[in-house]
Amino acid sequence: MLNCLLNSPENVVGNGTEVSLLERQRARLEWLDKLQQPQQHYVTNVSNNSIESHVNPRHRSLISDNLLHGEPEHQDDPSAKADVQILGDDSFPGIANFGKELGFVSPECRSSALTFHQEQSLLRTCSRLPVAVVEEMEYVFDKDRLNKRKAEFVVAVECKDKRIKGDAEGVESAASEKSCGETSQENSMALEVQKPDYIHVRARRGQATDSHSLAERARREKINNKMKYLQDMVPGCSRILGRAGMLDEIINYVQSLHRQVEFLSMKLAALNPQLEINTDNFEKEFPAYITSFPTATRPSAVANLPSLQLNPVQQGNTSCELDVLISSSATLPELYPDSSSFSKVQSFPTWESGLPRPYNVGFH
Amino acid sequence: MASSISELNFEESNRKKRRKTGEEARDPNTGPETRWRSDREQRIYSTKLFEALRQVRRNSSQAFKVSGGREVRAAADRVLAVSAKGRTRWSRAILTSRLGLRLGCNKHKKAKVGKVTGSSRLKRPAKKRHLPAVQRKAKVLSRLVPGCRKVSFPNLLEEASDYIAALEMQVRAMTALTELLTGAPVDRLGSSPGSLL
Repeated sequence: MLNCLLNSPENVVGNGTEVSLLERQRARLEWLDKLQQPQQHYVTNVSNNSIESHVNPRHRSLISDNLLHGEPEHQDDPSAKADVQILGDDSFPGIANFGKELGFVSPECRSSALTFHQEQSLLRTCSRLPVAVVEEMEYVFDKDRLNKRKAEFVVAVECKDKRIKGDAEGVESAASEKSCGETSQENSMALEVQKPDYIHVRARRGQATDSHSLAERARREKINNKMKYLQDMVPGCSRILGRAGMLDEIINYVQSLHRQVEFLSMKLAALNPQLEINTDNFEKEFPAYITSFPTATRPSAVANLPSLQLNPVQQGNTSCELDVLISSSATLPELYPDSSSFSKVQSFPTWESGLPRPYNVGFH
Repeated sequence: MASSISELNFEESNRKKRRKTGEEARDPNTGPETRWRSDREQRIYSTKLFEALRQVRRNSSQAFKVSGGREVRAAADRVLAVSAKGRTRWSRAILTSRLGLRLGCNKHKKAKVGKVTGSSRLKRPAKKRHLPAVQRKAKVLSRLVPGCRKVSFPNLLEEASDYIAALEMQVRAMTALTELLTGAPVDRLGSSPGSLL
């Protein structure tokens, strides 16, 4: 026997983008009401049980009570929402103008024609269904195919529970994605485009779809990205796998850097009296410095600095060229107007010419 | 000292102006690594550091007290924070802490240390402390990075990465400076370099 159920659930979910869809559904329902009044069938218990057992509480709103409990009076409800619309009979073989809607035929169907109304994206992705332009869709399904579809639908339902607002297309997209795995991406893209104002997160297969776990996962991914970045920075951290071990390495590295800075600052403090003296002598002694600097032994983090290779243009520069060079960097010019105690302006640029060189020589 | 403070204020006001535009126009591709490893940054830093050191020496020579490593280190950190252009939390913390709250911070630190080595801690079985290992280490790290005590974990990691890059640059610049002044490579472990002069 043909079991068809006209579904017209009262809980309409949708936002502004679905208005046209609702109108279409409403129109169709009214049309169907006229046609289908004498024929009211119910979903079999088989489908009921199977779907009911798998359906998420959230999806209950989508799959209306009609489907689950098989009550006939809902179809009189003019409010239109057709997530599951099961039409069918040979009395209306040429159902036209049904727009983009999805319908599922109950498993027990006749051998005769059954009509399906599917989402256009679903049609695109499903190889089984003839690709029809929106308006008119009729399909003949075998029983076994329907069973398969139902199973897929059920699995899809439990996997795709991610819409923040349950909507008609959720179930449809779920089914379509399960039925056509390779084109699920396309489908999800098509559906996502229709709702630009929601953040839709797809739960991956086999993972929890709870909003809490999603947030947890996002947070964990953020932290993992940052840890990876730190891992690249800290030498010797790549072989350590745990978060705690890496943090240990990071802490050690920061402490060692602190110690280096301390040591160097003490050294500079000891050298401080030489600062003014040396600025006078620098021009004479640069060639000697340059030729005699061996390559320094630095920690590995410092060693890989290809960017420190300075252009040799600076070597023979006069002070005016260096002034241009210095002023090209955005923050330097502020030193000049501000420091009134700049007694050695002339020697300063020439000293500056010497400073890059040890970088060039000493940091290979 | 007055000139250094005025310079600091000038740079800070510049920084504040720049911060509003800088953070919005921040290029997501330039991570802290590329920023602090650039040649330009190091040159800027060395220049400023040199100038700051001269000022420190000048200021300390008035009282003729030996400018210990502490002064130099503080000056170096301050210049590093200024080079950071105020985009990071640790740089802002360094600059704000320099403005005279040093005594308060030292006292606070000493009190904290005393608390940790209290006898009650030694008596209690240490088993309970080992449970949130990652959190303990995060706390230690937050103490190392200035100004990052009450920062969430992912932000702490980000600040730490920027801080590490900046510290590396600081070490490079100071090493170069000392090399230049002493005229010989400076070993990290402190062996005295042979004189070339």
